Amino acid sequence: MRPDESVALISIVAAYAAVFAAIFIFAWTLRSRQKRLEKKLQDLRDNLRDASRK
Amino acid sequence: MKPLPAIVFKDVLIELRNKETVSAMLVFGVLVMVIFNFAFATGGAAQTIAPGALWVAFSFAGILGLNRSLSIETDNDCLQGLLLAPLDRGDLYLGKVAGNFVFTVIAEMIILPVFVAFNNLQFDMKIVWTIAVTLLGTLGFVSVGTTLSMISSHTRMKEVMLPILQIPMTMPVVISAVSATGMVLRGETAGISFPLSLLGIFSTVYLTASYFLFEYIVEQ
Amino acid sequence: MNKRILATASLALMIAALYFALIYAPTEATMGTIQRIFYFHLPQGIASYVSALLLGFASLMYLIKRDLHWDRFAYCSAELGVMFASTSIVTGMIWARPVWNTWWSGDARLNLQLILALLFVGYLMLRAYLPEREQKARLSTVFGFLAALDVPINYAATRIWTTLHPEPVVGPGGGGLDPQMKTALYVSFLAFGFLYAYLFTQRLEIANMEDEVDHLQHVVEAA
Repeated sequence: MRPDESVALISIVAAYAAVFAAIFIFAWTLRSRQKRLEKKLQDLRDNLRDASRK
Repeated sequence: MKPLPAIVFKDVLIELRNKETVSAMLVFGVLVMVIFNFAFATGGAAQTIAPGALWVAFSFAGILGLNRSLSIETDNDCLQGLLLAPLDRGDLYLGKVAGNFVFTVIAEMIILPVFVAFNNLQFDMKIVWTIAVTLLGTLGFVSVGTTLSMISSHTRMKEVMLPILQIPMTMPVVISAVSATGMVLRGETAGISFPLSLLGIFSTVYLTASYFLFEYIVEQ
Repeated sequence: MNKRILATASLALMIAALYFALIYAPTEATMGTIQRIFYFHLPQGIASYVSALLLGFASLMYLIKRDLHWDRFAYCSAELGVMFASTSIVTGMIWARPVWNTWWSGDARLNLQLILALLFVGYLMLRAYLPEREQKARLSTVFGFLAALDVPINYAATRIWTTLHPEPVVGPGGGGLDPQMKTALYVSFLAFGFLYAYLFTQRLEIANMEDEVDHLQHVVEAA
């Protein structure tokens, strides 16, 4: 069955949008996690330095 | 007594005393069949889904049995005792598989006549072939299940984790067994060697892999 | 490879792949415009299989070497695997609906992707419920290895359904023959390859940091 152009175009847009949305959300969560972790790592390192100085 | 048969003997002895595992499995399995009987009351639908209903019942009853079999070991730290014994970890695995296999098959052999009755079949050669497929499928199911039940017993969710791991991993068993059973019941056995060999391959691969990997699961 | 290079390369190649898939490639004869979904659908499927392969390999390496680096590697491939398997299923469904009037075409590849996604989810759930680091690594790698073994067996098993159900031909339908379509497919594969490498590198970096944060927290608590 050959679907008409309008249906086909909507489907293509939906499919590609879904893929890019998934990739984008994944990459975005990675970036925010990285920033949070970098901050935490820095805090811990400072903590350790202060503790060893005492 | 050699260690491997000793484990099977121990499990059988425990089961003979309280008969809890087999009875729980067969009651649950029969109940699943009853649900299917009421859910798909029309004759036509029942015929086509019958093999599927059978293996749904076997799968859930099987998981029940696997969980019980393992909780015998993990309650009261009996597993520690087994590990202290001079027993090869792989043999411990095979012993548990053998025990699980025996109990599951016993339950299945009681569920099968219920299946025959609900689907108005006859006790002829087809049923014998169905039993053969069941045995082969159960072997694969139990070989993976024993490994996964040991893994899931260490998690915070304990027994609830087993179906989450077991159901996707035993999909090939269910697919092959249902397809083979369907072929047998319809009498169209052309091409049945494919699902049957797949069941054989599955059992071989997972028995071997689990035999060697079991020590990694139980190490302290 | 430098993360920045991978990121820009992925972006550039993705844009190129979009052009090749939507404009450059000729319209397919039987299915029409909607066939263009295929240029993205297929690489995602391949990405999920590659993830399964990496999961199995990394799991085995951990069990041999007991280096947590391999456990983190396995973990990343599982996360990417579940994402690409899910998008593969979704694009497959969006493709199937207008063409065969079903959401679930029930063909072998779709079922295989479903089982694969469930195996990845099972692996991730297993890790989530194992609090202790060494135990988490050891038990999940055993499961990861067994799950990877399951993939070829599942491939054969889902073929059984193919012989039973009337199979809607979810194939290239000429994509393998026409040279322009081939080019579009290659560009798409290249784009997804770089994207996969970028996301994997990024994810692995974060996994390393998580473990380091954990380790430092223990050190700080001990001090």
